[in-house]
Amino acid sequence: MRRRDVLLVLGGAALWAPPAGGQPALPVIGYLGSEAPGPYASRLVAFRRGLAEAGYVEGRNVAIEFRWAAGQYGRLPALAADLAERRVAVIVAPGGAEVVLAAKAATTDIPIVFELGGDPVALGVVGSLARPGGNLTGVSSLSVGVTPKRLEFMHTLLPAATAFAVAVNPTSPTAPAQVSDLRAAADRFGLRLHLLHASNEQDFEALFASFPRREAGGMLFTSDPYFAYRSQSLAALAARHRVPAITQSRDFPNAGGLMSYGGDFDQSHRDAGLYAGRILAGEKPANLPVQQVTKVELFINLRAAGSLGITVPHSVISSADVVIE
Amino acid sequence: MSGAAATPLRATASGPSEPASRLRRVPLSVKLAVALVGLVTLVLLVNGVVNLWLNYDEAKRTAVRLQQEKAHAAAERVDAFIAEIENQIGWTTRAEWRRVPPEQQRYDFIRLLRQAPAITEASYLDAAGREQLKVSRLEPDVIGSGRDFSGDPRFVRAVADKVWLGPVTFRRGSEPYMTVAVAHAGKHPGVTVAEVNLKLIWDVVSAIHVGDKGYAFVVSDTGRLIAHPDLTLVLRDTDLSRTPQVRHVLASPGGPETEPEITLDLDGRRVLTAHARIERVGWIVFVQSPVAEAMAPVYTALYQALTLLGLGLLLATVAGTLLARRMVVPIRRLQEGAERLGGGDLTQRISIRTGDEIETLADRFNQMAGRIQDSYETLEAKVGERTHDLNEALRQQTATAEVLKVISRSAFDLEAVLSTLTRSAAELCGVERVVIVLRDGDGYRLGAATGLAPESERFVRAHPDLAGRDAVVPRVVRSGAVEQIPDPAGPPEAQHGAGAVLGVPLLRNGAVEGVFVLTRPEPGAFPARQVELVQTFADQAVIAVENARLFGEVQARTGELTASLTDLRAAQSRLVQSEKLASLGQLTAGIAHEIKNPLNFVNNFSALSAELLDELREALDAGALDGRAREEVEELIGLLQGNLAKVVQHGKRADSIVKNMLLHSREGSGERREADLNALVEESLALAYHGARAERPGFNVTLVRDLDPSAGTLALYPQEITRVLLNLITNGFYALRKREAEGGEPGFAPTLIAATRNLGDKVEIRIRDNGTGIPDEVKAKMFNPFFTTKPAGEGTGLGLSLSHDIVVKQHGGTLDVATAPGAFTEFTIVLPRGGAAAPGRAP
Repeated sequence: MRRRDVLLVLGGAALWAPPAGGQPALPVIGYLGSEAPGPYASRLVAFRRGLAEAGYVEGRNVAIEFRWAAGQYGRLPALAADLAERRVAVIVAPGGAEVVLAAKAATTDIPIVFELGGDPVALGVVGSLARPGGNLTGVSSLSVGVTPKRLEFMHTLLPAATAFAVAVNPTSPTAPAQVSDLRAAADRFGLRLHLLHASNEQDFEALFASFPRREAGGMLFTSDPYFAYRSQSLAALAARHRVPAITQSRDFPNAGGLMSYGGDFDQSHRDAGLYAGRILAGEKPANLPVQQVTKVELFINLRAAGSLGITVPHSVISSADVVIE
Repeated sequence: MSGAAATPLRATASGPSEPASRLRRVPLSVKLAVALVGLVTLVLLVNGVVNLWLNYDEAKRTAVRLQQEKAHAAAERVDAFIAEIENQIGWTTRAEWRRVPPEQQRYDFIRLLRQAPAITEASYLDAAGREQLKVSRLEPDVIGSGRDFSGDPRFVRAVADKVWLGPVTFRRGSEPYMTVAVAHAGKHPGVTVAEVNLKLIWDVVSAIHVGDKGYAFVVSDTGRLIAHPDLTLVLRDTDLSRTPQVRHVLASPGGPETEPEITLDLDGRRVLTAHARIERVGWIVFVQSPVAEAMAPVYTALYQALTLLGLGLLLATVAGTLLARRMVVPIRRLQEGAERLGGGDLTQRISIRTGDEIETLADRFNQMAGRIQDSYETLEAKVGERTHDLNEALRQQTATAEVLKVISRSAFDLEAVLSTLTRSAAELCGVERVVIVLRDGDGYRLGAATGLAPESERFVRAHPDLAGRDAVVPRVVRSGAVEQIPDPAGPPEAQHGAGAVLGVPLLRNGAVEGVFVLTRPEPGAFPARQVELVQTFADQAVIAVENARLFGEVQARTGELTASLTDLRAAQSRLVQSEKLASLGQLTAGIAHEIKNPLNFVNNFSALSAELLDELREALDAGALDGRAREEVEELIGLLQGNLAKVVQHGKRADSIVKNMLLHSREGSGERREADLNALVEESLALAYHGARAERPGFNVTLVRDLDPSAGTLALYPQEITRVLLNLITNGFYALRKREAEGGEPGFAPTLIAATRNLGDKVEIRIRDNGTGIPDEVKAKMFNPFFTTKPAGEGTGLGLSLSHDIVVKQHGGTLDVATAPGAFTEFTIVLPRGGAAAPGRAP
């Protein structure tokens, strides 16, 4: 070994040396968030719960480095690269395909735990669910897959409507698949779809403003984290524009929206936390199969339905996991 | 306590092997503690081992049974899960259900999905096996798709068996699913088919807790993992058919459930495995728990036993130590006490108040110590006494030896021996005064004394009769035995202020030779020992006295013998002398006879010549001679006459010598006749005195006659005896004269004593003068012939020799001389009355 290498090694060791205080460096989780901490709050709670189940508590035996894209999904690759450069022990990339893809692009050796609504195999994130291989594994909330189911619920709720508006985030990697699934389902039900695009908050006002009120009975939001994290504003807009709408996230009916149908993000984020912990404990991501949430939940806000003048049929109510009165 | 007495005790207490044995010695407390601990340990160990032995199998069986039960319980729960699903499906299998409107059917299915979360989708196959309704959680519901399932086992088997539980499939190779088909009631029934997500069994399986780390898992009849607490294993599509326990179970399908066994789990840990079949589906539930945990009760029992053992040991140690201390401290105190006792400290008492046998022992010990002390003190006193006695005896021995030494050294010095005896007796008996009184004839005299003032001693010696006056002496002499006067106040004859008096006889052949008297101021009897000692000394004294006496006798006898020898020698010499004289006499008689004639001739002619010279002078006076010539002639005649006178004088002397010689050689001269001795002495005295006066007119002497009138007469040769007496008296006169001439001291009166004494058959004649005396050297030779001390011409040296011959040879008497130079000379003639012994000899 040449002297220079030795120096480099020594220098590296010095860089890696723990900061003053002498405590051993805690393993660091790089948490890549597409939004700001606020919208992530409930997810973080679930994540930390999962982490705790694996035996890790932030500040005690693990440190979490957060990188927030604050809705600027374009910044995700840079943030992911930053975490990769930081040589974190594991990168947690929750909240959608954009995040995990950015993380996957940033590193091929740092383990990555993802949480998304889509099909990770279809998205090319992993080779198979059972044996992901590579450095990625994670949880699918199934939210993307059940998007047609959302159309069914709107159809059941508003049997008279012959058309529905569909809000699509064109930047989402899963958007095309969802749209094609929706079209297939709409064909089966004999419904027409009005696709409306929104890829940032500025579009939301226009989204509802352009709602084809005469043709469409209601608005259906495709599964997309950008929409999911903005359930509050969407619910407010829907109420203001008196648009019956369904999203993937329970946050929407909870905030006054009509309905939601999607995977239990509580479960998915908890599972992501569990996996992050298991990886920290030494397990290989390649050996951890991709998990799928077991629960897809239907939330319905009867008050919102009432204010919209919608009578919720029995079958829907009995399907609902949570009925908000 | 005397060290000498204590030493033997110590010596017996500490043997030579003691240090070695002390090294090997283990303290009693340790032994006791060890014994206690050992006993308790043994009991506990035996108990523990028996317990373990009895319990191990039981506990193991219990653990195994528990495991088995857990497995059964788990199987039941999984079975219940499936049964519940069947049950839920039962909602939709009523006979009239097919007549329910499709909307209602859908609603029922939705409700089924709500009720059974594990069911992901439910479909209804009509009696012809065509799908009429399909409700899914993930996909839009399908109504009346008419898909034909009439040949599908889910329809065929369900219709045939009422319920069909399909094989486990893995959706997308990951999530386990199972088809449950339940035929409806009634004729030509339809079938409700439910797709069950077996992931939901996880809730069941993970709820099965076998201890802390035990868990249950479920495999399908092909060995595929269906449920596991770690869901990822299931999702990974794990095939367990190769693992030993699964393979073992699968190899015997429908066989009896084997005993639980210990195998390795997926992580390679040793686990106790039990399994149970779920007959309904053919699945097998395995319940595994780490051996350590499953066997925890066993180990717990072991630990308990060990803990108990440890605790018991600790308790035993503590109790043992305490007990041992409780026992040993007093014992040690006992030991120390014993050591002290062994060390000779008999006053030590052991104080133990334990109220048990040890206290009793200590009390006994104290009693023993007390008794030992008592006997020891007695012993000590005895030893002291004995030692004192021995010392005394030794002293006595030594003294006796000394006395003997003194006696042997100065065997004949009675004074010294007796002094030693009295001194030793005084020392040994510790008395003030010791006196030995010796018999002296009828009286007693002081032999030796110690403690008597010198003046008293002198006084007693000066007055020998005083010695016998001591009160005790007569008593002893009377009794011939030891006498004591112990109390001075008693007998009135007690004296000298003496307290007690002891008198021991000096016995010889039963006769009291003396008395050994001890006097001391303290009253009381003398100890027997002292009496014995004094007796011994008395014996010694007797021996000494006897020795002295014998010595005296020997000395006397020796003196007598010496005298006899001297006499014998003198007689012998005198005999020789006599013989010499006899031969000499014969010789001289011859010579004298021959010389006499010429001598007569010389004498006669010289006398004649002197007369002739007178005639010559007359002739010359008549002649014519001038004056001068006349004078010369006169002078010559005078000279010649002088010469002739000398010739005559010396001729007469020669004639006298010859006459004497003739006398000497003559024997039996004169006739032997009876003669009055006193007259003879008177005659001789007168003759000698007148002769001396004639020779020296100034001679003056006092003559003392001490004549015994009874001397009488006796037969002798008077002429010869007269010669002897004359000779002796003349010699005495000579000595007196000589002493006077030598300037005798003033007041010196020359005296000559002549004495006779009748001695019966002998008579004695003594001639004594107070003259110059005879020196010893002269005395030895004075009887020799021709020996004289007189100047030449005054004596012939034959006087005494002749006298001796006359007295001894002629008359058979003795002639002795006693003299002191410068004082006196006394000749003693003893003549037998029987007359002369020897007949006269020829002259």
